[in-house]
Amino acid sequence: MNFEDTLVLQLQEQIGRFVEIATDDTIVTGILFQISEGLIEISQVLPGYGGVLPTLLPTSSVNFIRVQ
Amino acid sequence: MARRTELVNGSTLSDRLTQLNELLFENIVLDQIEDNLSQTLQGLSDSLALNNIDDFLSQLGNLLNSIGSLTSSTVELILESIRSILESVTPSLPDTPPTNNGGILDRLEELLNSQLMVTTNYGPVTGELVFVGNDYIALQETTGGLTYILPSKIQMVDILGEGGL
Repeated sequence: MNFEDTLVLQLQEQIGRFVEIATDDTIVTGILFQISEGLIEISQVLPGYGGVLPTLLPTSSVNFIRVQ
Repeated sequence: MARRTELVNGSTLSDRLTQLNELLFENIVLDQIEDNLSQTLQGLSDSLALNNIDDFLSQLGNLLNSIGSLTSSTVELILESIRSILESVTPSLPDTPPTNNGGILDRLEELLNSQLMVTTNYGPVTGELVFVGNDYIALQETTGGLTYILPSKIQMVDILGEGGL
């Protein structure tokens, strides 16, 4: 697998994939929706009704991102 | 001398330089300079915007030498203000520019293909180090997930097994 030098570029190749994103205190799961400098946007899939919750995560708060 | 109190509120270098800028242009020299000094003042302003201290001091020296219309007491006020500002910000100037935790990235590059347990603020991630980027590392976990870790959030790295290159 080839990797990009920066996280933004690397994640832009993973858009549409299912990810887990850990902050200091919690972990959220969802579809990687959009990446920009300093900001990650995912769509959390809500249990039960199949609804989605758009969620913004500043990159500065992210501990790690796990791609399934 | 009352004007000096205008300088004490800012806490960052940028704030202080902005205050100095305002002091110079709005309170002291705005109505006293001659037209041919405006370019020098603009250069001075630009160097303040760039937080470039050396450039700023160099231009300030040229400026003060070229001002004939300023009274000596005004020049003294400017110099006093600048000296107090520089003294107040000196402790906040970093010794070296921030390297974004480059130290640990440099070391981790030597550990490519090793089995690591990386402890972040959230918790540990265990796997093989497969890539070290400019602002992230990638761990291939034994469970199949590929995990990107932000170096600024790394608390500890346990080297479980050295990998060969």
